[in-house]
Amino acid sequence: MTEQPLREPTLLLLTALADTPRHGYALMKEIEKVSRGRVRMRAGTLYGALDRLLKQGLVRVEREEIVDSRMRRTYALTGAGAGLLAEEAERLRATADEAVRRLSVNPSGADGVTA
Amino acid sequence: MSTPPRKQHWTIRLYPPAHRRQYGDEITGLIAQVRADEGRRASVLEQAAVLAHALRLRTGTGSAQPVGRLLARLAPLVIPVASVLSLTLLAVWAIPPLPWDGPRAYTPSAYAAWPVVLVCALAGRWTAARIAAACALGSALLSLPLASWTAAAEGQEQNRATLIGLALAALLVLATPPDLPPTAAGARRTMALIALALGAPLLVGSVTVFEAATGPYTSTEARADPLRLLFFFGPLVLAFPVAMAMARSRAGVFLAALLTAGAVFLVSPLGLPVEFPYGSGGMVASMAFLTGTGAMVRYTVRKNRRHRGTAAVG
Repeated sequence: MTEQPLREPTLLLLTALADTPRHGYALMKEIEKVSRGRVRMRAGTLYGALDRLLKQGLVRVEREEIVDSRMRRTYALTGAGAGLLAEEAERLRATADEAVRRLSVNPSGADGVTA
Repeated sequence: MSTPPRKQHWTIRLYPPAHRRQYGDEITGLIAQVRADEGRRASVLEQAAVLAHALRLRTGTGSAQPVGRLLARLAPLVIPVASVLSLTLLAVWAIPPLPWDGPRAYTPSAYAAWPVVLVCALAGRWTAARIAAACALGSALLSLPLASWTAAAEGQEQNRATLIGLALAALLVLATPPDLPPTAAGARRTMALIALALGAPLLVGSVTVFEAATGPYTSTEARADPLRLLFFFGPLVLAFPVAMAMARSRAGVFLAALLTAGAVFLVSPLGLPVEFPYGSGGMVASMAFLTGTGAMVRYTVRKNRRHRGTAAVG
């Protein structure tokens, strides 16, 4: 799908949708949780990113409902979005595995000490 | 279900109509929920973010818009250039002047924030880089009147172009969509390479003293002007990464076509009266031509390759 690694906000957003469809506020909270409190995606950024991902066909609107007199959409990953996320996860896993393997070959490297 | 829809939040009204129709109710609901769950302060921050996003969409710099994506690709090129120039100007300001330099005014407060922008961007701390860029923008704008106050009209004349350039660079960093930060390894590598390739000749060349002939049998100690070095090395260092960045999108290729046309205009008889600082017109025109055509060729090759790939899969 893409030659470039996913940028962090996109990766977090797709990850937040990976297990179950979510609406805007739930997505915002889930992104905060997935990033362990490091990233708080504000409303403008969130809907900007959702708009982009909808246009790219990576996310779809799962359902629309009226909650408290307001329209609320629930978003879900499309097949392409799930595929892209799986590819990115595999790429990150391969890099992490390689880092762990190299550190285990030279444990002192973890402390920055070389013989 | 039949309840009439509630009024949208006032901040939503600033969105373009299409975006307001599509997301207005949802964003209003989200702000209300943030206020209910997290209090007034959190909701004010959300409203500020919505205002900023509305402004972004109104100016065509959203992440779903071609200009927004182009800005995200240009940021890793602009940050190292503005930063190494600022660092060099800071270094030149700090060393004692030579008689060769003549009366020269500097505006160090406008340069100070840029090395911070670069360090934060290289470290992947994009929010911190944006805060530093906002400081850089503010200090560049403040330095304009300050330069004329401290060094009269000459001071402003000497610094105007540099300060406007630095302010525009800071604006570009701030206008980059926050959900497309240039924090990926590739973007950081590009920034580091440009900073090194441009920073080394700029910094070393600007502080190195050499003997310049001033007449037969006479010479004086001299130093190269940082801006002259920037106009010489900048196009050389930037040609390849700029072409690669422009080749990635249709908006970029449109810009590449404009760049090529501009280069042709500069070398045509019509463009002869256009003066470039330090007589760098020839260099700028040839590198702009190479960059523009390189980007268009690269875009066409990529597009054809993708078409062939699709045809093979289909």
